[in-house]
Amino acid sequence: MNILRLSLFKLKKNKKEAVAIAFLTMITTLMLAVFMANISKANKAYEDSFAQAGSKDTCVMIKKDKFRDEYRRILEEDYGITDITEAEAIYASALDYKNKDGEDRTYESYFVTEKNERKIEDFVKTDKLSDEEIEKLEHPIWLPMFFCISESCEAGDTLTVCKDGREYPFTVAGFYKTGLYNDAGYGYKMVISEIDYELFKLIFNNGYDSVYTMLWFDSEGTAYNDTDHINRCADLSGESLSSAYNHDSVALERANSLSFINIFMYFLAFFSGITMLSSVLMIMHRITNDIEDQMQQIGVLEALGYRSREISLSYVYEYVITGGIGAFLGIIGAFIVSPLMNIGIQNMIGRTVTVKTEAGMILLSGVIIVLLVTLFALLKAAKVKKYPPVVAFRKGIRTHHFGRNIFPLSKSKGNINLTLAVKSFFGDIKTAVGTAVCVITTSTAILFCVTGADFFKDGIDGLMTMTGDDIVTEVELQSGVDTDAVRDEIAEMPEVRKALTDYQTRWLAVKGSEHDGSTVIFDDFSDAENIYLIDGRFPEHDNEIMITLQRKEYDGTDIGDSIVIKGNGTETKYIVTGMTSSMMNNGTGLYLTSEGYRRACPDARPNIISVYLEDGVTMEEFEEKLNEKYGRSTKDSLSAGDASGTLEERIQAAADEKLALLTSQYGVTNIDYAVVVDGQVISGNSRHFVIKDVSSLMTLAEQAMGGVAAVSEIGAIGATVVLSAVVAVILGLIASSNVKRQRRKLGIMKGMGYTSKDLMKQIALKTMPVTIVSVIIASFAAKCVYSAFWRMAFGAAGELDMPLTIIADVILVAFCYAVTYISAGKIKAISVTELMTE
Amino acid sequence: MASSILRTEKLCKSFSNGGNQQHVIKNLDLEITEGDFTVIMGSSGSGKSTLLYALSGMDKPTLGKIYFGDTQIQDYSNDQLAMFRRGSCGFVFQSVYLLDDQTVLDNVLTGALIVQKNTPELVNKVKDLLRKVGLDEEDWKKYPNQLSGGEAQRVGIVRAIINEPKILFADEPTGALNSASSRDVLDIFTEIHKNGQSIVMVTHDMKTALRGTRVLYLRDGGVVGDYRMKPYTDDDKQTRRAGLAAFLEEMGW
Repeated sequence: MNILRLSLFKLKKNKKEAVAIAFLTMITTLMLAVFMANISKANKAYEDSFAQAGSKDTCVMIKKDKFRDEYRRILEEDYGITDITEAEAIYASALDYKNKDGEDRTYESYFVTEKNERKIEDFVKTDKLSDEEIEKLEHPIWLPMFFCISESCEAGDTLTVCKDGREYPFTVAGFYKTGLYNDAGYGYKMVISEIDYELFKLIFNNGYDSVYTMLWFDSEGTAYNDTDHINRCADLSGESLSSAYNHDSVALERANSLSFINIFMYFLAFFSGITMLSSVLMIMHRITNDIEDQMQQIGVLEALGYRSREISLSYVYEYVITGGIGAFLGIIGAFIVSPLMNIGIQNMIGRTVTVKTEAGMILLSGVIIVLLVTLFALLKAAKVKKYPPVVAFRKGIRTHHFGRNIFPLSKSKGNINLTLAVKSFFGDIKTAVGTAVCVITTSTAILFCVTGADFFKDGIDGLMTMTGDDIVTEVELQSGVDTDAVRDEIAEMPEVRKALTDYQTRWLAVKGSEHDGSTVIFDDFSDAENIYLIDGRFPEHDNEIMITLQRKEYDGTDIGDSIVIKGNGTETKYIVTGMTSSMMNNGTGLYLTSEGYRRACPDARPNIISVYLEDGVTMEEFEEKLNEKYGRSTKDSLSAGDASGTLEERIQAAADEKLALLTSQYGVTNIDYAVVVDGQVISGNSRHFVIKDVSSLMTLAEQAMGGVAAVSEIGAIGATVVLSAVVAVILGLIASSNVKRQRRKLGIMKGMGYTSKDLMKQIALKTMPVTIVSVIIASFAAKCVYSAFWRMAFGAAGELDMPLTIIADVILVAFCYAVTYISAGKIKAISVTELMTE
Repeated sequence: MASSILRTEKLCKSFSNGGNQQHVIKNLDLEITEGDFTVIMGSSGSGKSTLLYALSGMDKPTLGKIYFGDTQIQDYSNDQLAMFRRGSCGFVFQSVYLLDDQTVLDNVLTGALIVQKNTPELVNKVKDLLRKVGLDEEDWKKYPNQLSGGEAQRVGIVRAIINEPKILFADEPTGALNSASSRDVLDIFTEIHKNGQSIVMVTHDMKTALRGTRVLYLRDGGVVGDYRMKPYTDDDKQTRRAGLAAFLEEMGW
């Protein structure tokens, strides 16, 4: 009891330090508890949603016109899959929508009828209109839970499908639980009426958009592999299925949705570890200082008969009480934050989180922190044993041994405060090492967060630099148009900075690889502004190719190796000349020159112009100028029913609308027409259509990643603030314990005429060598962590912005100086007379 | 006639003690002349050290004025007082207060470099002074814990005079020393005084007080006796001792 009283007395005496340690343990506990209580929630939400929906774990979709029963038999016979359910769906890639507020949305979409949905899942409806209301709906649509959870959509809302300039409004009848196809990357499955389905069959029949046969089955525990299946199917039929085969599974959707959440969670754990490390080092540092400071009291207590173990315990209790209070506050914080995390996780994955806050995990985190604090406090407090009473009376000095006099003042030059600070620094290397560890770890995290915040400050612009493709305005040309000539004309427009010829992306099989590749074609890659060379060089000749770092990891292919691309029944060999980084299409990109591309795909023709607009020019302004130059695009002509003017002009507008519909929906390449009105022949043709469509993938990217970018920016700024507070607390503790320990020395120096400011400056300067070195080390560490983060999270190569890092370094050093200087303000309270009379 | 270096008017210093005010110095008017070796004596609790700290700018008075030359210093801020101490004063303490982690040479230089630039001349001056007080080259590299009490106090004196202060304050500089060391230290004070240094010293030891030219006796926060002597020489020890003893006896010491 006496020991506990001693601890409480010490706590009362060192209130500020106790608050600082409690703050550090609170932050540590909070982050660890949030991590431990939430890490499994998203996974559980996935399991629950599949169980509730009665969904199987895998779906293979093959274009209906290419599908053969043999493909299904391969699954059954070669992979031992039983219980395959066959159904039908329409796939619409990057389909445009307008929500109830008229805002544009783009989703990868699958449409099924209720009959087909019931074949593959239980069609569990939720949040729906009444049956009477649904009965009255002309175009009902059932949406997966994502729309309810993440898009704030409600039953009765209008959702309008926009295709080729036409609008198809639906009324949301309600939502249903689904396992697969409830994901931004893999698309959303929507249930529509038989009539609407039949209409969509006619509309979505171009390119990838088509009717697909779906095979739903459980692949877990079987030998199923999608690439192997495609190859077996292709071998059987003799035709490539790479552009007609679509595959989705729990694992893919989970990996796609959870990657960001997991990164966030592991960063919480990482930051918690950093704060824990700092807390432990600070506690150990404080105990050492306290023991040294109270050495004579220790001697007195020992002389009075206290055992060294009991005295040690008085220090341990002090920090267990402090750490315990911090952990308790952290636990309360975690209980407050966890429900908010549920909302965040639900919004991110678009599935209901049914798991309640795991109180056990939160409490366990608190216990872990208190145990760690106890353990390290015990280790350090055991030092008391080294000092029997007589040694303690002599302030721990056993022999009068002193080391070499580093930096003798007689040889010093320059400012005396700086010299004394450096001298003091070398006399206290142990503290310097402890400080260095804390500053390095926290500064690494701060620099990481600062770079992250800067990266996301302009929304998705930063992410766009990592896509591995140029996400710019794309002008798609009508077939038969001279692409090079139009490109040159567009490049001459004052609104345009640069125009490059481009191709439609194709998926090509890579021999010996499980990962097909999406093509990225440029004559000269150095012209593309968002494709960065990581290693080697860009492909220049028709037998050269550049691949991504991800493919290097997938296939083990490196610079100098060969890669064989399979297409149109032929195999074409390329030499890998360089590596880039790409977040697009899971980093499967194949980067070829035009001539190289045509070796694998002789039928490929460039029909897209990638347009880089001048700064300040909007896409709308550019489209307007483009219309003035080339007339309206086929897409715009589809909605030209309200044209005005003379009869001839109105007839021509109406004819253009029909021409546009035929060319865009049915692939008609050339039409001539002639009509007679009151003996007057009005004729025309489709050759005046130059532009098929103008689009910007930025909209889709903004929608898919804008939220992630915003959350990341806020998270990075928040983490920077919290970590800065941690640094401030650490340095504040070091400075105040320095003042306490050197009380006598500082008093003497004050007596000599050193002002409080001189001495504060000395203490602040003393931490500078270690701060500067630590921040430099932290910059290199942050570079490695940042690069590893991007590679692990997105397979992309993230690089620290060096000018920003240097600025952040300078600010960090200045911040550390200011915090230490201010914290050393305690010196002002030391009066010379107090020192002399004590 | 020598000019006044320190002067007080109605100087008061009080301490709060559990809500009660303890008046240690009461309305003290005092003048210290340049070149004097002033010794302040008195019984325990008479306010000797408190007066010394107030005069030297180590502590602020509660009321009254302190003139250093023509400048009032009683309202100086802590930083201004620090500047005043570094530029005009030197201190020798009973407990010496050397910096434990610095060598003898560095202890003196720490005091010197706050005022002067680090030049070979300054370092040589420190070395000369250390030699003069009997510390040779071997001692310069020693740390305070390796010195005897007398040696440490001699370092303290060198540190106090290295900046050539206008006035040197000493608070019972021989209080913790044996008689041989005390004599050595007092000889140094006498030597410094002979060279024109103004000194104000607090002591309760008559042998120490004999070295002064003026003895002020404090009682209940006020000066009750002011005894003047000629500068110290080894020849008139007996006469000085008798005179001072009579004064102190009169004061009730």
